[in-house]
Amino acid sequence: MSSMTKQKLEYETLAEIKVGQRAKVVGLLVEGPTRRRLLDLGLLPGTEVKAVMESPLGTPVAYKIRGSILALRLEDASKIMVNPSR
Amino acid sequence: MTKSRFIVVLAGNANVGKSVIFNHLTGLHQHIGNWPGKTVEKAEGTLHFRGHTIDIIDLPGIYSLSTFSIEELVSREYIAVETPDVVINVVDASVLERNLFFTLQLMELETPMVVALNQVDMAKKKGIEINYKKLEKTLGVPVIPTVATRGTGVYELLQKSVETIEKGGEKPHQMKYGDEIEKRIEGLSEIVKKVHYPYPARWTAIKLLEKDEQVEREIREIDPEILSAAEKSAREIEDIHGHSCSTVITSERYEIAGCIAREVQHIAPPIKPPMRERLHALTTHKIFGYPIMAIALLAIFSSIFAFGDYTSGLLGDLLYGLEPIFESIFGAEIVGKLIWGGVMEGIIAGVTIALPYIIPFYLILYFLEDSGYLSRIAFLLDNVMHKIGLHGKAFIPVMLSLGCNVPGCLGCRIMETERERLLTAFVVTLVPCAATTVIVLGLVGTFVGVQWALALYIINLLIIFLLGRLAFKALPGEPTALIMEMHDYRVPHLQTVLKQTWFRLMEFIKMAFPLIIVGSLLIKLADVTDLLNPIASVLSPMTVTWLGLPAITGIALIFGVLRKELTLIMLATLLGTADFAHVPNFDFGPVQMIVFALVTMLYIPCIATIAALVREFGWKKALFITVFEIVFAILVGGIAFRLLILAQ
Repeated sequence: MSSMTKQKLEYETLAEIKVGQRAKVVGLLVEGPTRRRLLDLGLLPGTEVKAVMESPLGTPVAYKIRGSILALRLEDASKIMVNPSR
Repeated sequence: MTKSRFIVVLAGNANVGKSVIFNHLTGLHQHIGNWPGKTVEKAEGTLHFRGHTIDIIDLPGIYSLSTFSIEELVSREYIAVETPDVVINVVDASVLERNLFFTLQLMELETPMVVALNQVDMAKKKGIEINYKKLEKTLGVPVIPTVATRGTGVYELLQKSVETIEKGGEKPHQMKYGDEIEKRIEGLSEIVKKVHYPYPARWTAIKLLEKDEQVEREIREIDPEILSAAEKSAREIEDIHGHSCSTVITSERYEIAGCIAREVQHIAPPIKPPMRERLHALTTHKIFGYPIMAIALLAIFSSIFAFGDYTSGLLGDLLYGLEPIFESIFGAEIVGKLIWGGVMEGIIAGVTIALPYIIPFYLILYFLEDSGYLSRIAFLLDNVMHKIGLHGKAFIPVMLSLGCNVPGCLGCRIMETERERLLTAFVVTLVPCAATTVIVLGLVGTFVGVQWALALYIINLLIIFLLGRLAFKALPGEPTALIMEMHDYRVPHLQTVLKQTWFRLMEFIKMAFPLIIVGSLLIKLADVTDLLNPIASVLSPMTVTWLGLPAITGIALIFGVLRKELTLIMLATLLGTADFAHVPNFDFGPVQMIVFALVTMLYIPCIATIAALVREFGWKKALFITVFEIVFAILVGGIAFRLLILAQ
């Protein structure tokens, strides 16, 4: 149980990753077509993601994923669990 | 060789230059319509090559062959069921891994393939060098490097495609997944082979493991036992990997794609940040992003409206100048009236709306989309648009609808899912167009007060906001997240943009003009047969009792269906004066003007807009939106009337 909580603490959501920071995808907490789309665009467990810029209105945020730039809203990014690289 | 007519299909991710290749191949022999029964666009063209007639079909730009969108479903069904002779997979050389992920899926459909490795020049600028011979060897399908915008490699591509067909169309060999998955795929495909299903057995087995809803549904109908076998295998894979089976298979596919990409490409750091990257930084800048966008959009819209207004007026004058000629030929009696007032005025309405606004709109829309600026605009504005349940990209059609709803509706095709297209179109039809503005300002602004005209606009904005939210909740289908690719800036291919504009305009004319002419003819027929007054009295419970308007306004509202500005012109004719402040014989004061303008603002998309809706969404949805908006406008008008009376 204690190891579970400890592990949980290490994970963050993609929404918490600041511009310029990198992270590795751990898992997706979404279902349905959105999940399908994210997987198809290469957001898979183990994939490295980098936040590259933020819309001046706060959301969406653009991420570099497998050589292309994808924009995601923070509300959707918050459903993607990541392990930030330090 | 018995057959000399071939079908070649273009498939690939969005923004890889597929349509540029399509345009190079087909020249002026193309036709743009919809896939039967779908709101997905289908571009077809024909060419002759070495004695063969080749039909080229441009499939929609997609990232996968799953069930994310109808585009994906249409594409995979077409390739598997219609079995084209060869699939040309257009691949963006600078995003090789993700593009190969799609290539691998196409290979699984077991149709002969040729890969067009496109935009190799752009990739080179980014420091990416690809050994295409090695890629060809690894994939086992021919690979032709191309620079579509310059036409480089397009001939070789065609040559190789025809060669592939002539050789008998060899099926691409299959990439292998991990042993534990491969074993189960093979086991499942053995069972699938025994039943009749249009897709390849191996593909079906993979899709069953991926829990593809469509394949599961169809296989369940054929033999539910196959499904339970698949579920069992999927659970076993899940137990081994600790992730859902669809995640595991997608990961493996990406793994293979990544491996191939790493093997064939050599990446060197680009020497200096290219121009397009500096442009990208500037146009999405925290401080400069918005002013640049505001200036760009203002310039675009004012030029569209200025061009539209000028050309529309010019064409209108020109065509109305024909009236005496028509009168001299057909006379001023019933026949003459029907031909001029029915047919010709319908055509004039169509011409003065369609040509001046739709042409520049399409040109600019494609320019924005192809250059990559559209996704930057969406990036900057999504937060605001999302509040009415729309995607950031929807800003462009919605904004343009202030000029004319028709291009707004046609522009909804830039949205990625059918649900978003429909949602955007609905909001677009609620936006007050230039003609509505004439009525609101000319009637309420002039005779009641500018503050009242402004109030009407605020009410309209609130209604857009409320109905937008409501439709977002009520529309069937799941709302999808914004997952938008922002590809590098590039110079759009002018010829492709021009051709796309031209063929889409033709498509609209073919669709809309008959409708506009019939509508116009019907109204004129009612006019010459003196049916308008009886119709007005039939409508009087609505106009007089509920809305508190004079009965003759019913006639004005009917004419507004043709073109909204006609409501004001007809109103003046019917009331016998254009000085709406002093209307003798009728009870038509400020309250009536406000109610009338409000109803006109909301009540119906004009017939050209309805035609655009039919073109994009089919009859049923177009009718639904139309009827809903009529009922809604009357409802709001009646409530406004009662509130205004109370306030007096």
